[in-house]
Amino acid sequence: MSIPRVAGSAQWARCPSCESFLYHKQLKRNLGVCPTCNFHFRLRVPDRIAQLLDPDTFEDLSEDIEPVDALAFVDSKPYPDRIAAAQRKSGHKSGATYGRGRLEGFPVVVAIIDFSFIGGSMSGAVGESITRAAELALEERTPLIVVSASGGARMQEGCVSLMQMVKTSQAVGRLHEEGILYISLLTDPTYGGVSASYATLGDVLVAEPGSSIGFAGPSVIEQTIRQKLPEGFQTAEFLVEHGMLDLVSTRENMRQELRKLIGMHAGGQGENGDLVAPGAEGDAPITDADDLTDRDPWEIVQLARHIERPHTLDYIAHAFEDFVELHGDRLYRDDASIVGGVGRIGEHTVVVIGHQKGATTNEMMERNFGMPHPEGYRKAMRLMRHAARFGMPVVTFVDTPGAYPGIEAEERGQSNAIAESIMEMSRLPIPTVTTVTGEGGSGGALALAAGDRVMMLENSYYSVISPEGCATILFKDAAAAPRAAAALRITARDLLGLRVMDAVVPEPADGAHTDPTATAANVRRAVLQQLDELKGVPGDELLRRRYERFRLFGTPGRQPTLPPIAAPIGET
Amino acid sequence: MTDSHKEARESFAAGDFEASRQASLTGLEFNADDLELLRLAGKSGVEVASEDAVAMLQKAAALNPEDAGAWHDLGEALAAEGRLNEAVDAFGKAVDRQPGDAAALVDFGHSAYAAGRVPEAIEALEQVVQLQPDDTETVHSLIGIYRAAGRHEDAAAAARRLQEADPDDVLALVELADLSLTLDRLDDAAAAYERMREDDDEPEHEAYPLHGLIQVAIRRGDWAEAHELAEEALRLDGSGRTESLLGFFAAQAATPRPDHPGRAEVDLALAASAAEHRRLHSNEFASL
Repeated sequence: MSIPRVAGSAQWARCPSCESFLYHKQLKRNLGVCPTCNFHFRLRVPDRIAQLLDPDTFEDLSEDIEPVDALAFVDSKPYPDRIAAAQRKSGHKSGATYGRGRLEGFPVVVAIIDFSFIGGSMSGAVGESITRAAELALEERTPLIVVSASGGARMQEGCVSLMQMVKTSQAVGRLHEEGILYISLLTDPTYGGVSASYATLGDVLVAEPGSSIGFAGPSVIEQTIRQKLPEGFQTAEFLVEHGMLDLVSTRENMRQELRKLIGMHAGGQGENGDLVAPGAEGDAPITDADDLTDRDPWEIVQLARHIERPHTLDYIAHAFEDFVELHGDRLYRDDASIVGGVGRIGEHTVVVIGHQKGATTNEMMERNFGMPHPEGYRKAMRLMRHAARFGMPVVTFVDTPGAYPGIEAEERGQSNAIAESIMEMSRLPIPTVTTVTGEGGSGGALALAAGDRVMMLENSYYSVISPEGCATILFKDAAAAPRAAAALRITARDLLGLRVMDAVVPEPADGAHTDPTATAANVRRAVLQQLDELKGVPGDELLRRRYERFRLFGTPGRQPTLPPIAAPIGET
Repeated sequence: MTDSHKEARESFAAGDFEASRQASLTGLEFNADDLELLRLAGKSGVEVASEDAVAMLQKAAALNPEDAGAWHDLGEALAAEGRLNEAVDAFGKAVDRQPGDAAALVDFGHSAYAAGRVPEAIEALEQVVQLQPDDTETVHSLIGIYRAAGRHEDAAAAARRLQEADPDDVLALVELADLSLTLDRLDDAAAAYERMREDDDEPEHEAYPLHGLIQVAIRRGDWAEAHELAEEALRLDGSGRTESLLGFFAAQAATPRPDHPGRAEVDLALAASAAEHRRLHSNEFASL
């Protein structure tokens, strides 16, 4: 029997990071990731296609694109010689490949930069491939995926290279305008003119772990500022923390993450959908105040603040079929006190946004006890705009003591961030459904609550100020918080009466924390009911109704009023 | 030969490993001990990451324990699963049964090194180089292993042979230059770095040989030369990695700058530059 075998070391690769020898087939099975140190080897274009796309579905459309020596450029050798050497080395005519393909059955247009071709630098030909890919995606109304790995612009093409930044940016701008999904996958390294153009303009920015991504290289920055850069500077993880990326995904999970994103933006699960609806149906929302349990307001405040009360991510886990969390405001930082992303609930693909407190001490610290900074609201606004671009309803969950009252928050424009968020949400031409799940602390809560339909859980509260704050300021006595809680009329019963709330989501008798699953089922039913009612209402009609909804408050003759409290707590 | 044999063999040769595996499994239903089908099923299984690949090849090797090829196949399947010590043993049995089989020696040597069995690795790879002097990949592996084992003389000798055999092999030149410096053979190092300036025409690599020459100049105590080279490197170095070195050399050449780094920092920066240059010329692309 003769089965071919090649003698030589080609079957063994050496990890540039930890210097381990790796058997090639093991490396292949591990998708080009060193099993010893997790170093992500740079992939050749065919390997990237094989990892991302369904077998035999890629149709290469870039074969006629080649670099042009427009400047007759010569450094240590003529530019055409460099091109020829790169073509020999890479096996491609230019530094980028694009074409049609399928990802888990979904049609996609894909463009991939080849770092082995003169460092992945952006020539006119690379820009041409990216632009043609965007144009094809627009023409066929198909999601676009671009995989980048580049040192930046190609010097040998001078301003022709520079102009690719505009050419590619305007091409993806047209996709934004038309609501065609563009996912940018950033791999190691992505810098300069590529990171400062199409690569960071994706609707969703995904990166491989440990990838170096930035504008200026780290050594240039070190020389400029004459300081050592911190460990992990410009890594993908650093960028997520600083609000610049949506998510970091391993190669192992990348395809599934992309499938989920594409499937949800397509409005369905895709051919291989495996979504499972949460089990219990849940109790119907309450719209008649008389159907609510009569509970002391101060007791409700305590229940709303209960340490074990479920938070946004719990409701998403229990009430939604699927969810991909997206991070960052693209400006300063990812604020963990507000979470958000794209999810599916019933037949609706929605953008979900909510305040997030922590369950443990560490998590509470990390999430700042659910008190957002301006970057949290700016993340929320970014996600709201994402929803509007793709026609997805917005579902928000409110649970915050209030926006963070701190020096940095003021420096970065807390008031403006809240104001913009209120305005942005109030003017979204898509259905918006809000549920107050715990504490509805003033403007910091309202920034996520300017919805078409606003509901609250039975034992949550919604208030212009905390009862303690009101007690101190108006009653001159911090101990009068229970009295203030009653006087402020912050409960579901009162807010239904004032028409601040449209409905109340019932809770288990002793509070949501005693049965989070049942509470989530109730939330699911209430949210679905509202989404179903709002489905199909035109955007301008939504805006008109929403305007009227909030226009009502304080209007003489229209504002509902409440009867006086019979026997205010603490008073005789 | 049955239809299963033919189909399995032809599919394997055509690279359709799933079809080859299926045909092999079909044939094995009729004769579970068919050696060729066991090996084809196992080898195809390795390519498609089938869980039963190792078991198939273990059975093939057990049925015909004197067949070097069967042990080699088993070693490959084990290595693909990262079971390195078992892979070394299987490759070792292949080598024992066919001592001149360079392919088996290559796999034995690399897997032995990966499993921490350094002397066995070096012995095997040295045999490969004797059997196949043109196998530059193995020589490069050997250089890395020699260097890691502290055998710098052997590493330098191998790099020199490689460079003489193929003057276009820039990685060999990088190895030779760095190893000469390590061995304090300053003239050899300087000559290699000077050649590197000519031969390494990758964009933005211009500063690396100059950094090497700076190290030579430092060893020689020629601070003026080091300073001059650093000035030249600075002009060519778009990344900015040279700039911090300048202050130190300026200080040594009696033209102090207020922000100059210390000697330790310069040594570290130059060593990092050399390591980066070697890494850039290594194959860090996985052609999977």
